[in-house]
Amino acid sequence: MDLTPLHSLKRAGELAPFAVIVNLIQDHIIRQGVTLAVMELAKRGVGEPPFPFAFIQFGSGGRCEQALISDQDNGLIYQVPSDVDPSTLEKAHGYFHLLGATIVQGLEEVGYPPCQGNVTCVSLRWRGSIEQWLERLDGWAAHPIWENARYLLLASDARVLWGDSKLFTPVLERFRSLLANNPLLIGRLVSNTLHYRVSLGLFGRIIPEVQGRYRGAINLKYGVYLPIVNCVRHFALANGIFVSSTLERIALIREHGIWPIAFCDEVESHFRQLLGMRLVAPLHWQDGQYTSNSYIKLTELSPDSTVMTRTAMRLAIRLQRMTEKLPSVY
Amino acid sequence: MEPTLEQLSSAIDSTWVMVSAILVIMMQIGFALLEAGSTRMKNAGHIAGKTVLTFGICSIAFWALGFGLTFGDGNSFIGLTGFFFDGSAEQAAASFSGFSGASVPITILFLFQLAFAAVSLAIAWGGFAERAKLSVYFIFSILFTVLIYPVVGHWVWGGGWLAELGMQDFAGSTVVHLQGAIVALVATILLKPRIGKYNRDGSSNLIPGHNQVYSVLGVLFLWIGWFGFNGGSTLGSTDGFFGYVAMTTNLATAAGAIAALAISWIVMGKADIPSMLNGVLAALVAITASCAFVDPWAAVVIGAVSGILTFFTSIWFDRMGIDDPIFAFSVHGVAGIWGTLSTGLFATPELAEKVGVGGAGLFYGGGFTQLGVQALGLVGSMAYVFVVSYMILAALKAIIGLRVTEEEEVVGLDISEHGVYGYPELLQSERVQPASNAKSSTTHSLT
Repeated sequence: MDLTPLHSLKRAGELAPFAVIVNLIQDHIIRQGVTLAVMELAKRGVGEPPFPFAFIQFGSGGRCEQALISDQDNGLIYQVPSDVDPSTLEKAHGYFHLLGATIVQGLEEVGYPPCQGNVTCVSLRWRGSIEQWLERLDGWAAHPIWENARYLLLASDARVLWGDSKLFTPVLERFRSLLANNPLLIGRLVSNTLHYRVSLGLFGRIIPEVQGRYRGAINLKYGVYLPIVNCVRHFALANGIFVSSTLERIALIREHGIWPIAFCDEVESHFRQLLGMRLVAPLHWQDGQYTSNSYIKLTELSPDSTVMTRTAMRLAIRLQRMTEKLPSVY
Repeated sequence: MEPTLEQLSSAIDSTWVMVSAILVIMMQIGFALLEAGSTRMKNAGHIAGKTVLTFGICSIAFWALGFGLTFGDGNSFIGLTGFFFDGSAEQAAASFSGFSGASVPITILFLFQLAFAAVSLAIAWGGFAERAKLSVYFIFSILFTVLIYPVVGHWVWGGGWLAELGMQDFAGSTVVHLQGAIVALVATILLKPRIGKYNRDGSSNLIPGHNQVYSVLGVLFLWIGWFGFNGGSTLGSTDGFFGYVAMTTNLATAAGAIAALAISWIVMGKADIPSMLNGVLAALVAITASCAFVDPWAAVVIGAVSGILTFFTSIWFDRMGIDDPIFAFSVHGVAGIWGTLSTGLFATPELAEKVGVGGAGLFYGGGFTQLGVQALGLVGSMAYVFVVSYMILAALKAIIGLRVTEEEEVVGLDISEHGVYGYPELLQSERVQPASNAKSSTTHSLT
């Protein structure tokens, strides 16, 4: 894809609509990848999918926020009929393992590196029957140590991209009831994410990287984008809102009157602009590296984009302070 | 026979200088821990171990030639008497007239001055870290102790031309620290950056040290040792002046720690521990020249400025493509320059008179005279050390080579230079098994 036209758009606001388009394209490619993987297995004689299944996106893909360069965060869920015999079940598990591996390999070939944290449908943790998923969720919620809290957060961003979305509904329902019945859980989820430091220093100075490859750039992902994503997610989960995209979450938070309308509008407008800015990050580096997706060169930003970034950072800090208090209010 | 007051006074002075010598020798622990902690695990044993080796070599070389070249009677450039020092009063009287008025036995002064030379050498090693051959440490230890350190030492402390001009360098910001730092700079330029330090586009990668706790302990050892370094440089204790020197030293260091941490927090958004440690050392280096000449408030300013200065220069040198793994030049060089100049700015007339070296600084009505002397001393010392160390190291590079092979560097100097890892259990999988061991393990195998 020729990205040069994007580069000429210096103003963050102008880029925002492209984020939606980019995500639609990514969705289309990944969906195609899953279809091709199913066909590939049939061609190799492994057969057709034994049970109905759904392919799930986690992370930014789950939230409909994929940038130009994106890694894989995905999983598989399938519906096992109640009367199935053990040997058929065993074979089915084998099929989905193979399908998971084929999907991940195929997507890697077209340019989606597998997630470093191993959140892909090759991993047994992110692949399984509905019952297995429910069991997993119960286990994570029963022992919400740091790692399990991270898994729960990942699951909360899940979105079915291929197959019947109803397959994942029981998991979301279980998630909702677990949160409702365990008020302490939201505190664990909040404490999992508040370590993200917004890159804003004294007197509102944006703090760029001082050394290394990304010297002079800011980490847009960890320094402002993810802190906002996390805070919005926590407020949504704490109030029983189970949608995966940040913008949808903000819309429902507004609808439920959880935050004042003007504040919701402010968060939404800044978040849209951040989504737009994420698109230009790889153009600043032109190296195709996944990490480069996160860094923006300050020198490449137009003055109004710099101001916008600073305001978004202030907003992120404000949201983090609100989120810190969330467990005690909930 | 009852001891006389003079004998008692001498005994007290001697004890203090001996304790100071031990404190300064103890700074080698600090350098070993700091340097090993600031570098990678695969080089840790080598880096810590070579501190012991080079202290040993330096001791012998300083006894044989270095002490006489630095403090022996000679001309304004170099000392020419007192070689193979035998510790006798006769040799002291015949060869070291500069020490004739000292109330401390010359053997103790020898140990004290040796400790200083060894500190200067330990600083220089920072620029060699993680890539220099072991043989270079052997040879250069001798050459540094005989050809480099004594010359500037003689100029400032041994009655040389800078001493005659009244250069104020109380405990050696220039003599000890800047000399070591210039050598470190030359070494790091000649050795070239470590593998993996710089990318093709010139951007640098951070190579973090393997143990921050070691680095912190190292710095604390150095901080404590510095009370001997500066306080002991009064060469006596009966007038209590060492207490004042220790106080200004501590104030500057504390200010350096706080200022460096604060500036790293402001600039990088994170309170960076290695930056704070560099700030502590930079402040210690800077106050070394001026500790006996300045008011307490000035000590705080000198320390704080050096902490901030070092933070920025270490980043700047890194960007310039100079891979100085322990930041030796920023910490000891830049702060050494600042410290040497600072006394030209802040020296009070009372303290200059009390110490008996030079005059008041610019801010105390001394005009530019003292500052000019300090600057001249800096230029002369830096030029000498740069040129001579460059010649020596360039010659070594041409004859035996300074750097280990790429393979040796990648596998680490512990295994390539010494055959065993500093952390054998942790790096077991990479360990090269000697043939004899492999055989014996088969013999004793239960299978």
